[in-house]
Amino acid sequence: MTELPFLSLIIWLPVLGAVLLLFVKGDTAARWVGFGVSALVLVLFAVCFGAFETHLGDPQFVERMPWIESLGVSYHVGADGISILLAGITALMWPLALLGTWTIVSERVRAYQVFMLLMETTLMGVFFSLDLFLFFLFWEGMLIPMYFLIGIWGYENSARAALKFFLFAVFGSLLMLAAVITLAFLYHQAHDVLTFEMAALYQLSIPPEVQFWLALAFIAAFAVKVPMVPFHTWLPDAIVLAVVLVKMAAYGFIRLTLPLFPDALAELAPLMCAVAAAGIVYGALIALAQSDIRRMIAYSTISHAGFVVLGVFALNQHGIQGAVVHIVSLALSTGGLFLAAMMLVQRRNTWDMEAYGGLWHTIPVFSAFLLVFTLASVGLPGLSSFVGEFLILVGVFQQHIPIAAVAATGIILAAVYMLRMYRKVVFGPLTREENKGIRDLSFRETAVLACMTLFIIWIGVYPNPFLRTMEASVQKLLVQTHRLAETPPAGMTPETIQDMR
Amino acid sequence: MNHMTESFSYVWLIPFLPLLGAFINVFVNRNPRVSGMIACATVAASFLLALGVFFQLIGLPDGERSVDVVVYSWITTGTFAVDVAFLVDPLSTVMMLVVTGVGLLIHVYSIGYMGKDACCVRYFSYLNLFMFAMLILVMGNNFLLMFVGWEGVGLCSYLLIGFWCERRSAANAGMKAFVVNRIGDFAFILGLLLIFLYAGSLTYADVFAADPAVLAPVITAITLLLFVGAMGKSAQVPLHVWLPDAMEGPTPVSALIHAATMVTAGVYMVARCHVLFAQSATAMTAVAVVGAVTAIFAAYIALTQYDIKRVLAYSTVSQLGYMFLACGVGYFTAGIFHLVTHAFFKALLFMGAGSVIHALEHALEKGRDPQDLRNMGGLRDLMPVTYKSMLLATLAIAGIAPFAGFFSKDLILLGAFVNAPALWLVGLATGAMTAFYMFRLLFMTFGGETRLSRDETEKVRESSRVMTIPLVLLAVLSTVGGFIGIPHVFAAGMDRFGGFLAPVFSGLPEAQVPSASVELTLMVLTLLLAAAGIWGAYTVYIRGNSIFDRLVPRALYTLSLEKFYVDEIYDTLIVGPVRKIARGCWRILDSAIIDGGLTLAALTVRSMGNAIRYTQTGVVQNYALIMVVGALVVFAYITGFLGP
Repeated sequence: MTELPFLSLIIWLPVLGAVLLLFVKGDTAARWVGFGVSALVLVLFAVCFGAFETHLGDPQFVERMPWIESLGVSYHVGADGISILLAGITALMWPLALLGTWTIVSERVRAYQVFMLLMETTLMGVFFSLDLFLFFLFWEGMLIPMYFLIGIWGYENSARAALKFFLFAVFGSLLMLAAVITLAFLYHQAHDVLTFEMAALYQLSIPPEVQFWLALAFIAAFAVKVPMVPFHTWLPDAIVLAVVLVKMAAYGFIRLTLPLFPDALAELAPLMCAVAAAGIVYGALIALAQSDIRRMIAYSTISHAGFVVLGVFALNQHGIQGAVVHIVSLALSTGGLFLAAMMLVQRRNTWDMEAYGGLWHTIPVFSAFLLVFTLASVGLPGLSSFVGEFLILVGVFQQHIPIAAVAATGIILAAVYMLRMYRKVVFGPLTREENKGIRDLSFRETAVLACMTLFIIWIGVYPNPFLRTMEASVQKLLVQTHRLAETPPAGMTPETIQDMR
Repeated sequence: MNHMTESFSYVWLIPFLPLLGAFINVFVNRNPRVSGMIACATVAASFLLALGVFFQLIGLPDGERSVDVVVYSWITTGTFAVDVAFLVDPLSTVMMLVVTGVGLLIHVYSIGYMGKDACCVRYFSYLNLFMFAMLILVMGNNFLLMFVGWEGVGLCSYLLIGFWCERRSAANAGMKAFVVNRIGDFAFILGLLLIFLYAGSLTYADVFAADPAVLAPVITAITLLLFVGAMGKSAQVPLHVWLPDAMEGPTPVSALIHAATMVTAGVYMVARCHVLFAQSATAMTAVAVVGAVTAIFAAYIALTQYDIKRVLAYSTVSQLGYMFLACGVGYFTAGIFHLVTHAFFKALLFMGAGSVIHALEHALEKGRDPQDLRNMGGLRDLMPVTYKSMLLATLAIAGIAPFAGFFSKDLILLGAFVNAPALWLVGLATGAMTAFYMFRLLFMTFGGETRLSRDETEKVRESSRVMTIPLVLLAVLSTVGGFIGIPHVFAAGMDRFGGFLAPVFSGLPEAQVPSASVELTLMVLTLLLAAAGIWGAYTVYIRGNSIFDRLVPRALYTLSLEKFYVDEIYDTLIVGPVRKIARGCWRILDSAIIDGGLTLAALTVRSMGNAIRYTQTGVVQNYALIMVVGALVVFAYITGFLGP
């Protein structure tokens, strides 16, 4: 079994599905192909996950073959504890999202399925790449399906959103490309070998001032996509992509910025933490002023993304493990929130909170699910987000107490803006005639949301399987990240570092 | 210790059974009439198990009455490890018994009160869910699990306050409760983070055993932060504003959550952390002062309110103040003792009020408020059981001997007298005010001439058995419940309650006890003041003497009636400005400056792009393609440059 190239199958199967879709006629058939292929990916992933050895910090299921030998580029993929979790939530969310939007996307259905599958490929590619060049290709490749998806969703500002997003992304990517090339160049200078192997580049010792600029270049590329304030203004117009991008950009921070630039981080990490904490409060405040559900969710995502960045740049085990759990949880809670909102809007055709109210007795099943996602976003203990948020705060608190305190005010504000939304949409008297005949969720919709709810509760009540999966990998990452640091990071004793080596 | 852990291994069932009940009611049960039975049965089972724990515990020697029962390991990352585990000791056992015991009576009462509501299945699932969260709160063996329960009860409170959510006021009140609690929870979380940073653990046993020297630099910060959390949950000034509004919920909910159990969580937490609090004199003073100020402040407001439930709500705030006063002067046992007796008489008062409201809802003409004391009067003969049980509860809360409240309040005032005479005076005055406003409530409801019309009077009925039996049982407890803690001065060694809790608080310095004569004098003084309060209420509300109208300046009266304008002040100083800042951030900073600036940059780039359009197709997605090509070109250049 383990001889099968699992990761390549997971990465490329969606492309096969996309090709297949070109020969399929009819919307329903296209939907079934899209869903079927992503479900198959999920099954493959489950098998893969079952065989994953959690006590190892190194990549597993590694496949490696030379590709562009003159440039030292190889097709090198593998999964460690961090990437397998992020790939896992992607594999889970894709069939759910396609099933959830079954009838919501009613035009250009085939194109929608094609681009969703292509996006899945690029995401999986980003998570599994062990070669920086390959990583970059997947990273950039994602822009194409994304551009079309923004167009397909066709919200009122989509042209403007697409332009904004593109320019931001391209700007960031160019910087990253320059940094990638410089890295390879530096490695060549030092060892006379041209390679893009991440593991090799991690070992490179780069002069601190060069590190600083390179780190900034990477950070710019990722910060746009996280999105961090002030590079966030594309998000409210392109919210569909939000959850996906948070995942991927945060992964970029973890996989590249941390281990590549340990010296630069001494200066940059506190700065990043401060900006992230400011972003938490800022996003929450603006979410508070929204009456459009979509924008409210977008700004809440910006606020939550701040938590993720904060955890990553705490540079210790609690923070990073918390950040990864939080990313997984965000996909479920914010994803669920957005999916549920879309189901509502499909029925009533408006994103305005004021147009609802009094839904509790009309559509109780929907209201109950919306409550779960709302509470998960609020960070209620026992649900998934609490685990991530609390671990992140534990991690940051060990480094920067004032920043952690500022960030923690986000939990007050989150309660205000989320419950405000819930009160307007669900509670209160039923005043509008149009809301009276509204249908409750169908079996398909209920199944999708129930599945997400189960995971939200599972992670909240028993997160240890998830934490254990990445523990060894995070420890290894920290060894790399702190290899030049004189004092071991909190949460890691010199002994454990020794053990790692 | 292993065999002991094993012999208590069933305790997880105590919180789990009500959760199971909620689960059954949500997913399985479709019959509204059975829902109440399911809810009651699970809570009854938990109560029996809690009794089992109690008897098992008193069978053990003093030193072994503290057992950790680990269920599974919950969150582990490196040095951070928290279990789902329960602590069985006298303190948690007392709380378990109160929560499940009083909770059971309120569940039974709810069958009568809510059984006909269209949404009673939902009601009973929330109620069961609350029991689960509350039991987690009091049984957890670490701070994080306590926090789970802490926020869990907050959630249930939110849902139950907003139970009739189609009413705007109910929806708003629920949200207000959650948000104000969150302010406290914010401080609580910071407290936990500090504890973990310095003590390296969140498990009680480790934290309380930590070297005081290690905690010394932050002990005041930790305890004050924890206390702010307690202030939110237990509605202490200035975070008390949510509790009166919480009366929008069904009355049994007010009895269970907003009187007997949830709001006392803050007191439980301070008592649980007595080891930490005792290390910081500043924090102890803060607890005592906030408690005393809250006690008198809320009692003052209660003097003039006309909504029967609001009087009781402010009374609850005031009594919680007493409990914190007790903790603050180091009399933790007295605080918990008052928590227990208060649970008896205040649950009874709310349920009695519910019984009255229930009767008047059906009797009063449309447009007349069944909660307004001015629409009551003379109900004594119409609702005899409710009247008699409420009379006993009122005597208990007024602190008349030998009812339950007398013993616990007496112990608190004794502690205050010994340690903080100024606060003792405050407590004493509050006692007189308590007697006044409670008897005002009783007289306006049951005494004097009725203010109902003849038609209305004929429709008033005593509540059904399912509601009155819990009332009677609680009336018995309110009457004799105090005898579990008979003061030393009457009979040495009869303070069974203090004796039972002694192992928990054994680490504290021995409390100073004044001479018997001083103690007896204090007692008489307290009783005299309570009697004066009753006499005042009798004069005004039965005899119709308007002496206070003439003596008290109008401004003082208005201040009480308008609740010191606290809500209005918060609206002006906090809610309004935050809203304005949020809108300003969005409209000006985000939309105009950041987005505007970036859009401008984007447009500039695009116009430049237009200028060199002949090199490109102008289709945006081609940028990606060009980038990849460009990358390859740069590569070729570099490698060519570097190559041999």
